[in-house]
Amino acid sequence: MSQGNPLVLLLLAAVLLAGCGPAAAPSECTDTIGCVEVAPGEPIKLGVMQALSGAMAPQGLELLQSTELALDVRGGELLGHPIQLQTEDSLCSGEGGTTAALKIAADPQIVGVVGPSCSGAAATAMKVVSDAGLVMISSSCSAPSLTSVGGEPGSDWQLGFLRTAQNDALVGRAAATFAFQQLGLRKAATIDDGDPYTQGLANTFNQVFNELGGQEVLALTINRGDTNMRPALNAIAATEAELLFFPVFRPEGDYIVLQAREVEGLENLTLMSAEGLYFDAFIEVVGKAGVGMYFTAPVRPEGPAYDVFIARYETQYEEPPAFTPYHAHTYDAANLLLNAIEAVAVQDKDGTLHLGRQALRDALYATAGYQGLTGSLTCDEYGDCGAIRLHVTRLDDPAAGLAGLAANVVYTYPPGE
Amino acid sequence: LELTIFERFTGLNGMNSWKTLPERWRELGITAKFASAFGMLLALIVLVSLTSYAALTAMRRQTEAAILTSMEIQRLILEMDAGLQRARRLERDLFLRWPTVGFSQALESYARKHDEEIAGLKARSASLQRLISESDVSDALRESEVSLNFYLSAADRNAATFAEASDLVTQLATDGTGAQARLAYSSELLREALQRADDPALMVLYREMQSFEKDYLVTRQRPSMQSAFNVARPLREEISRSPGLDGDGQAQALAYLDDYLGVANEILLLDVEIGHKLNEFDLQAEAVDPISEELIALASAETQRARDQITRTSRVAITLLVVALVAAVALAGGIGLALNNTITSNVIQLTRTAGALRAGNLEVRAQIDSADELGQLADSFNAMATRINALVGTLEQKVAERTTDLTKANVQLEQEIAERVRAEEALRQAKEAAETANRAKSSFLASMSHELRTPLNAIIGFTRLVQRRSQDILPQKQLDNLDKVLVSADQLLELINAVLDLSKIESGRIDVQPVSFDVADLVDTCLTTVRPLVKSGQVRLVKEIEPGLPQLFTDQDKVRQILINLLSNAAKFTEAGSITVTARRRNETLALAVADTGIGIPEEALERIFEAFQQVDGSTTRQYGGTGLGLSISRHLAWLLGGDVTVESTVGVGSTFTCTLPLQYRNVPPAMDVPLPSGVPSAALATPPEDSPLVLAIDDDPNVIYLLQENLAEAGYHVVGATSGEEGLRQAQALQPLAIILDILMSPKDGWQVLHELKADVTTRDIPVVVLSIVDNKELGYRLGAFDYLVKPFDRETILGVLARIAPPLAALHQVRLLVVDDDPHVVDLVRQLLEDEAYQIQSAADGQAALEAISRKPPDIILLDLLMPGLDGFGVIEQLRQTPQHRDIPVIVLTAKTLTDAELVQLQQSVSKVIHKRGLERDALIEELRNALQTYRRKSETKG
Repeated sequence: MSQGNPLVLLLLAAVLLAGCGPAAAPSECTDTIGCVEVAPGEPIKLGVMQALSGAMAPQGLELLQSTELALDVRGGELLGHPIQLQTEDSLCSGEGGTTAALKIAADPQIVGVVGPSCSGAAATAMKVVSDAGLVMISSSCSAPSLTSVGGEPGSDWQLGFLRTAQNDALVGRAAATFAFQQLGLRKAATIDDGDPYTQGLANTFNQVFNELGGQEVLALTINRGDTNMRPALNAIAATEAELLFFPVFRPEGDYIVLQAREVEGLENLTLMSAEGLYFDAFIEVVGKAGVGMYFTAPVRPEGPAYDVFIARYETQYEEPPAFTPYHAHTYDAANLLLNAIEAVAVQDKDGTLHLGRQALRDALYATAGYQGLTGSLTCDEYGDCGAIRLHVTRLDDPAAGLAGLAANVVYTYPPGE
Repeated sequence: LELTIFERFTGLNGMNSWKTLPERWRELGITAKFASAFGMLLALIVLVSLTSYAALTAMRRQTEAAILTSMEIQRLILEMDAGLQRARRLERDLFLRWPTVGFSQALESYARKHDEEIAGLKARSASLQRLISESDVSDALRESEVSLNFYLSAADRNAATFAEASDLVTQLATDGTGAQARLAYSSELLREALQRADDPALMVLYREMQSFEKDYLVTRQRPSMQSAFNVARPLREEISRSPGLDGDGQAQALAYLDDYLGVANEILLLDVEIGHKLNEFDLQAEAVDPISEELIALASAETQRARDQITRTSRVAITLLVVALVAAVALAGGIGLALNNTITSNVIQLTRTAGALRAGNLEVRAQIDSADELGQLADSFNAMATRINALVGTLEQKVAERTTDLTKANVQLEQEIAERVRAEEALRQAKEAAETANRAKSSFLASMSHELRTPLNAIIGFTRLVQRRSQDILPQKQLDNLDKVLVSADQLLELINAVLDLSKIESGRIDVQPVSFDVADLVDTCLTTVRPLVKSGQVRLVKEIEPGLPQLFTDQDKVRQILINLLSNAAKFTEAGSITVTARRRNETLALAVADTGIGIPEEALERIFEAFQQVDGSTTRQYGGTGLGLSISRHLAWLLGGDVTVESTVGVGSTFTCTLPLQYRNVPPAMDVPLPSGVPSAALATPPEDSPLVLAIDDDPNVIYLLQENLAEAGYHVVGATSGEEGLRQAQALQPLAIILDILMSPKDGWQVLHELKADVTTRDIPVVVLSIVDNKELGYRLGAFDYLVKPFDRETILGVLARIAPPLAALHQVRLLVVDDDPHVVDLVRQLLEDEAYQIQSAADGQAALEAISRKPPDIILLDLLMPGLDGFGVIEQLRQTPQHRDIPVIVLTAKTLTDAELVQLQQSVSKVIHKRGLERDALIEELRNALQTYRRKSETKG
């Protein structure tokens, strides 16, 4: 597929939308990739894919609950129809994404999907979901390959995928800039686990770090499930690297931190990771071994709308959401989808809804200036809608937990905002 | 007719075409109405049948469709599930076995089959989807579309994943060109290059790297490969420094090392990818398995649904049938009602009208509004009624005239009838008066005779006693006077009894109690009884019994009474000659004749003599005695038994009285026949009381036996008689008596012979024999073994003395307690005196209550009980006794003057030993009865004890 295709399709969709309008016979589907009809009393079905088991489950649950909250705010209804969620566990892996997507795509009544949690899952899921004519809007998949890298479509890009999460190109840039400029480090090694997210992030980091004048001394890949990190760490030790950037998940990240402290030659190595380890449980496990470690994390939104959301969330689920702000991104993602449905739905007198799938995609891509919890959202042609700022935090006091870590902000990117 | 019916029914007759249905119906004939009704019924039956057929057919179709669909769905789902399981096994086998069986072989064995299974799975899944969308299935199954979609896409995905995985494995493992082969090749090239340097340090590093590599290939743990990579770093440096390698050699070795590391990285990537594929298989299995289970559950539910549908359909079919049935019943009812309203009710109305006409209402007319045959009939009937009415009008005048005549005749007739009625009434009153008088007479006689008998019994009893006790005290003249008193009293008693009998017979208050008995025995008994009355020496008693006479079944007592009566008469009027008793059978009757050679009866008196109180003439009574009631009673008794008594007589020659009796008294079933044992004379039949000394008297003269019985019984001996020597011998053997009293002059076997045979027989030779004969030959007697020898006429005391030497009499052994219960002190006194000589200790009680008290104080051995007493009577005493266990077996002898009814007799026979009439209160009989009763009592007591 050439890079111009999405634009062509967008144009085509706009023409079709104009052609449809209220004048079109409501019972006839003229959408290029099909319609969903919702009979009176029948629900509007949405899919949800999140990591609901494994190490990422706490985040996955939080994101699911945020989606539900977005529905609750609307009384669980849209255009006089109840909204029904079909929730699937996409794990945090490619195969999990595939399986969940197959289940979602099997139901022709589902109009769109919120999720998934992880880029790895998103990359495989989108192949299925996109083929089925669905839209999927994720709040936490940040791998650049899912949308675009350097103004070009990413390797995993699919039509119909949008995200309110940041593009990790930004995160990698933030981490490299901080390491080079603020910490003054010049030799850096990276570890990824082969997942699009970790790989993408590591690649960006190396790219930016090299651009800034630093030296990428080693880029290693580990496998999910590995427990012995010493060979990798020994390799790093051999390179005399000053910094290790390893945006992996748990528990592999736990092993890296713990074993790095045992490997000779790594005594002065600076450790830096991303949101994959931004959990209380991680801090608890690594304890003192993690002291001095840096993290990149999106900045939590601020403002009255967000405060109201947090209050609602706590009331509903009797605990606050985590310190990563992806709950807010999820809430925004769900609202973008619901708004788009509202915008494109053609309703008969008897209440029957007609939803054009392409129309829905187009409406989402056309999002501009939407005031969400996470800020003003405008989607680009590759599906990136997120507007984000990043913090770099340092773990000084493991006893203070994630709250203490989140509060210990040492750098904000882009600087000066 | 058919055309008519058709026209009427269809109303095609032009004139009627506008009429309503009820009107048309009214105009139909009965045949048409019935034809229509039954036609409708037939149509109804057809309708119900068709409905049933339709319902059943619909039910069958529905049922079949439901069953077939559900079965097909279930089959497809189960096959899909099985196919999925097979595909999974193939996947697992491919990835598990290729290292052992070789990659090409594994691919060949499993991959193709896997593709086939997946294709089959998809085909079945698509069929299922089609079946579900086309059939009438449950909503749940219809909603499983999503699951089936997923099932299909998962199968697709599975195939794709499998293909990708196969591709990865191919890249990794293909012989010669696969990554693993290339790694080995690079490793070998590197080794050769390093060997050329002949640098041990190089080889050490190489082997270390190799070791980590092998480790990885076994464990597939990436850190092992990372370790290999870590060794590659110093190896690279060592190659660059190695003196054993020139510039080219170093460059070559480094190039081989880079190749090696590149291939190793490739393997790492392939392994990661393969791992992802295997994970995907697992996840797919996890996702598909619940769907598989859900589909299987849905298939089961579908089968259940099919069953439910069958039930529902059958319910609908039944409802349909019931509706049809109800409709049919309603319609049938309607038809019935229509027929009733138009035919039955018309018939009823016509009938009523005819009835009214018959009852005289000539104005009545049938109101039937119908054109059918009944309507026509009603018209005809009405016409006829009108005509009758007219005719009757002229008739009535004639009838009025006739009626006047008739009225006159009628009045006359009524007067005559009234007179007749008055006469009949007078007659009836006279008859009633006569019957009342007759009843009064009978009643009077009964009560009178009862009142007379009580004192008379006392007179006779006391006279006998006085006579007995005063034998040696009173002068002969007085004793003769007592005899006369006794004779007169006896005559009086006889007269009273006869009057009573007659009155009973006349009033029909006498019962017949038939038994079977032997006529010859009866005749013998009667002859014995009357023998003392016969002028001894001058008149012979002759008996002629026809051989082979059957037993007579009738009232024995009454026959005996008749015969004794006839014999008594004969004895009375025969001074010399003979009195002959003959018994003959005439067909089914017995003729019992008593012929005498007496004075005879004049012909004109022949019928009169059977009337009460009639003898040949008034003087006869004075000359011969008698009541003049005997023949009358006899004849009445004979009538009662179904026979008669007739007489033939010639004056001066003699008379023959013949009693004819049916052999079987009628109206009594033969089952009641209780024949007496035959062969032994009845007198000898009675089983001798066990502890009463038994004496056998052998004498050809029954009178002698009788006298012995009378005299010895009083002293406690039981005498059994035998009237011939032969019989005597037999009895002696059978009875083993205590003693034998033997006559000598007997024929054919005389006493000597009998004595000889008795002594010769081992069973009888120890029995003492006392000879009693007119022959005085003591010497011969003693020589033949006689115990004693007495010469006739015998003396009571002498015989008792002899017997006492042999065995003491029973009475002497006991002092028996006797309780006499009677309100008449005379009776007590009399009994006390009668039993003065005997071993009885006598107590008395004046009424029932006193008796019961005396009994409870000290139970007597025997009770002599009167029935009629003030307060608690004899029946009451018996009842009380029988209810008290310890007194139940005390023998009771009832002593009464009361005439007992049959019911009373039966009641008493069940509970008392004997009933004795006070008139027969003879000392000897009383003692005998007391003795018998006591023996029975003792036997019972012993049995109990």
